Amino acid sequence: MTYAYLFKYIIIGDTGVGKSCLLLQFTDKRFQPVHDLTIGVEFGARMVNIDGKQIKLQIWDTAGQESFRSITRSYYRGAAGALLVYDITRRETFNHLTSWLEDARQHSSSNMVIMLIGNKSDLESRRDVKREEGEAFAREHGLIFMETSAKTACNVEEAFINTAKEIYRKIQQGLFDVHNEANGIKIGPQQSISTSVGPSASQRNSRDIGSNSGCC
Amino acid sequence: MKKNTSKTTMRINKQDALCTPHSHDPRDLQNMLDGGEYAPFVSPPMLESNFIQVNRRGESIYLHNRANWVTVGICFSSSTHKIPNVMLLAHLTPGAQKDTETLFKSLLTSPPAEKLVLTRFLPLQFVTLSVHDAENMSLKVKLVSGRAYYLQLCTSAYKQDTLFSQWVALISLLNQEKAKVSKVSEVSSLSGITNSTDITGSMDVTDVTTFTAILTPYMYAGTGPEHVRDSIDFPEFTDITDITDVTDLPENEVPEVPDVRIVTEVIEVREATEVTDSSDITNCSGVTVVFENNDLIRAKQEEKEKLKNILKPGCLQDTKSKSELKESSKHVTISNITLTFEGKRYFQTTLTPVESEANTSKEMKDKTSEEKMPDFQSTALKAEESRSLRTESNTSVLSPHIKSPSNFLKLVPHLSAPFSRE
Repeated sequence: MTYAYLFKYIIIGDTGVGKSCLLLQFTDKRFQPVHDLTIGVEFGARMVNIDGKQIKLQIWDTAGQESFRSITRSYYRGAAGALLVYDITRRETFNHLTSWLEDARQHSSSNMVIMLIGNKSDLESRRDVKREEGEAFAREHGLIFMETSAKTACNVEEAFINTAKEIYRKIQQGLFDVHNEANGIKIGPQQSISTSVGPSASQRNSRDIGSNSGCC
Repeated sequence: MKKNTSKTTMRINKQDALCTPHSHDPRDLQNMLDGGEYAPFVSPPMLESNFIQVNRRGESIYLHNRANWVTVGICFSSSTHKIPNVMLLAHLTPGAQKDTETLFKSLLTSPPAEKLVLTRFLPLQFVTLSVHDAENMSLKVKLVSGRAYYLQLCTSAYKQDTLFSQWVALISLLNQEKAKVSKVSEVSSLSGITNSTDITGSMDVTDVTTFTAILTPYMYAGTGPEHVRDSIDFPEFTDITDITDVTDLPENEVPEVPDVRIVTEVIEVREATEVTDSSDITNCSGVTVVFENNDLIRAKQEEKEKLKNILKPGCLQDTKSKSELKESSKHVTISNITLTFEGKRYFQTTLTPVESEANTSKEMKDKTSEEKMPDFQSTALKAEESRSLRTESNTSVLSPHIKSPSNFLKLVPHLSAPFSRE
């Protein structure tokens, strides 16, 4: 397990917006139209490469149902990044963003990087939320914004990696105390920090490529 | 729990065969958590074991031509909890998916190490654990969504009995606590107190002590008193290493959805056949909601056969024998509770006194169709608007409510009790 940093992500948003599908697409590069209701948390992990550093993304896919929410909140603690997801074909999932955002801000580090994701962009004919509305919401609340499709994989990789880039940028700027794990960042094993890895590593389809990086 | 020797031997052989290929790697859930990547789980699992996923009949579920392995750990989400409140599931993944060059190199040198990966975190309040088949040491894990999984304990032959009894004790403890909480919830709801989502706070310390005493031989020589691992035998507990996600099912396989059906029965007093004091009888009329599975159906058929033999028309009935039959029937009586099942059966059991069976059924149907409409309209709309989350085969039980979370979860506390009686 060699990585420079581990970033904890949470994926939040209303039920049925495609949180689990986004995770599956990112970690396994596949889309599963039929997915069980998420209960508790499902975990995923994948290595990415940011600026030559191996970063392990540990992703907590949470339950979106309202009744699970009081429990879900407790998972926000110690997250460095959050993917706040809504469904572009369901207006109500967009309307609930404020509430999710308040929760996220209240229960996590103030430096947490939040990526707003309008998912199901492949369903253009059923679009209910304009792209501009998503952009405006993100601008207003200081979020990064992307529209994605877990089905076609459009922008999925970018959503996770751009969030990691932003976290990494904040680390470099000194905004994150990397020694405080409450910020959702863990420094990897000592030997990995000095390891330089080529940029192509981020393109590998690997759930965890820690053991094949850096040491050969 | 007692088994005859031949069966035990067969089971052990089967399990050993399944366990053998993965017996080298001593990694386990605790070691993985100790790595520190999952900060909230500071408390070590109080009990953890390796299982293989089986179906209801106890047959292994094979995934990618190998048994579906899972490590299950029960732990506390924080030190403030008095009883465990979390179930962790982990599985082994191949050490790494390597590119061609390194894969070739690794094949020439040593097999890739497998790594235990945490896959699920399930608050125990959303899980009902029960012993599915004591003889084969399998547990049933039922989620509030209705999904059920069957896990067969897989460990060294000479430890499995002890380990399984620890699981049985833990399950008993957890179910006791759930029962307590249900009672508290009922009282709270009656008195208008908002239910807390934390169900684990009301447990007596003595209960934990009792359980700890049961597990004493396997207490882990770690920092937490609740960690159940034998310090001497520790490595041998971890001899099973090939684990895949318990939730993974072969794509072509029909998921193990619970075949629970609801039927309603009107317990009607047949005056002509009763010879007992009427005071008891007049109070026992009402509608019984019965959760049926195949075993129950079979049992009911047997009972009906018995009844046919016993209750000849016009004959006086022996009250004692009838009451015995009543006692033996596997009925769960629910009153004043709203139930939703299979999307088409939505009714309230606040039904009153004796009516003819036909009339009662009719009334219930009417009520059902009236009351369910608003919920299902909105659900249907949601389902159409959004990409469907489940196939039809998966929606045979509870699916409309899964798509309509608010409806479904309102029902969860009520569903958990009967399911635990399965």
